[in-house]
Amino acid sequence: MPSLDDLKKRIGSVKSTQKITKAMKMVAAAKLRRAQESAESSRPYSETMEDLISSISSGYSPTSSERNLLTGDNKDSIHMLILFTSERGLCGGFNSIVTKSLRDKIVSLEESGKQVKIICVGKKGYDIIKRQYEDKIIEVVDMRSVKSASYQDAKNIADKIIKMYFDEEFDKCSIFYNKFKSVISQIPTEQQIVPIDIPENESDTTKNDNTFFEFEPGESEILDELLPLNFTIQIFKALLESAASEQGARMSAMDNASRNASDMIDNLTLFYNRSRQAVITKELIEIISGAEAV
Amino acid sequence: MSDQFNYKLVTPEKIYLEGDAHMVVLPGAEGDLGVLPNHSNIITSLRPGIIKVTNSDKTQSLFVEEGFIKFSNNELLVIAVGLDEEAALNNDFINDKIENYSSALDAADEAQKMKIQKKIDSLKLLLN
Repeated sequence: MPSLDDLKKRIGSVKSTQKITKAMKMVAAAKLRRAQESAESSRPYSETMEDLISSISSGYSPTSSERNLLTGDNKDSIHMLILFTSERGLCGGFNSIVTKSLRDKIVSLEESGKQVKIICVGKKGYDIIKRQYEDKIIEVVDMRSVKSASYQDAKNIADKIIKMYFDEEFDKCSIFYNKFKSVISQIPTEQQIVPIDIPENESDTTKNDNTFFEFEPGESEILDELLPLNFTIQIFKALLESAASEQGARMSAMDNASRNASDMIDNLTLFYNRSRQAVITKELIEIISGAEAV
Repeated sequence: MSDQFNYKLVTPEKIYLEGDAHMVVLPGAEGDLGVLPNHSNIITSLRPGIIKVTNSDKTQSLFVEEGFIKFSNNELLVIAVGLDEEAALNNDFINDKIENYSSALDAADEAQKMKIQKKIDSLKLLLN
């Protein structure tokens, strides 16, 4: 049985851990609000962009077989997977869940004989998969110095990847990130961005939209400029969603940790009081039986 | 028939401006473009320039670096990158942008060079 002193020390250490987790929860909550706001305010842009692209692409078929970001060029041998994770830990299952969906994808791609390349945005995802897939990771984007992702950050990443695409370093590209739904729920999402995966179920809305458009300059010129922009926006969206999800995940993880700590403190305190009472009772018995013996 | 139409200017960060307008003048890639209510459906890209939004009480001017517009069903959508109040527009601001593009010009290939040169040209026109 641990001595009373040991118990006291343990209670103290659990208490200080609880202080840390509580503080982290508060910080995450504050950051979450900001991240959530910027994620939500960027949604109209990507929605407008999707709307625009579907208006153009509904009546468009590429005239040449050139490589483009909209339809790809029917090749399907090298897949580029971009993984968005956090730079810091202590956020529950945030990183492992999204990494798991990446792993499943890699396994299924490899089974069908495709080649896989990986870009990791955020260090934690890299840490998880590096042992298994070190040779496939072509780049790790360090976001540690970035407080909240800006459009420029997204553009830097996107420009590099677009260049790789036109250098024929990959044929298809998907992003893996946590989509922010609520504080307690983040959905690991896989989205194919090259070629663009236009949702089929929107046929009702696109039908109304199938009206004739004038294009100035031509459709293909507009697409030439629009598609890289769209690619950048998708990356930007993933960065923002992932940042908001990270704070949400951390907040609920730290909330759980604080609650566990207070349960632990309760149990330990009860045990401590019982042991103390036992010691007192034992001493009393000794004194009484000593007095009776006299 | 209404003499106004709905417009929405969005940037990557947020909806910059939305509301009803009588007329919006845009710097289209092929020349300036005035949009009035019931304009025909159009999709076009923008060159660096000034967007002017006119509604009943005032006219707002905004600088745009690049972007796209779509007009359909009496609704104007502007997807912009680098949107700024016109007040921010002075020669230093523009020269900075020109410099950025100029440094990109050296690294670019032929096809891109033309596009970048076009952007520089339209930026130069804004200098005063």
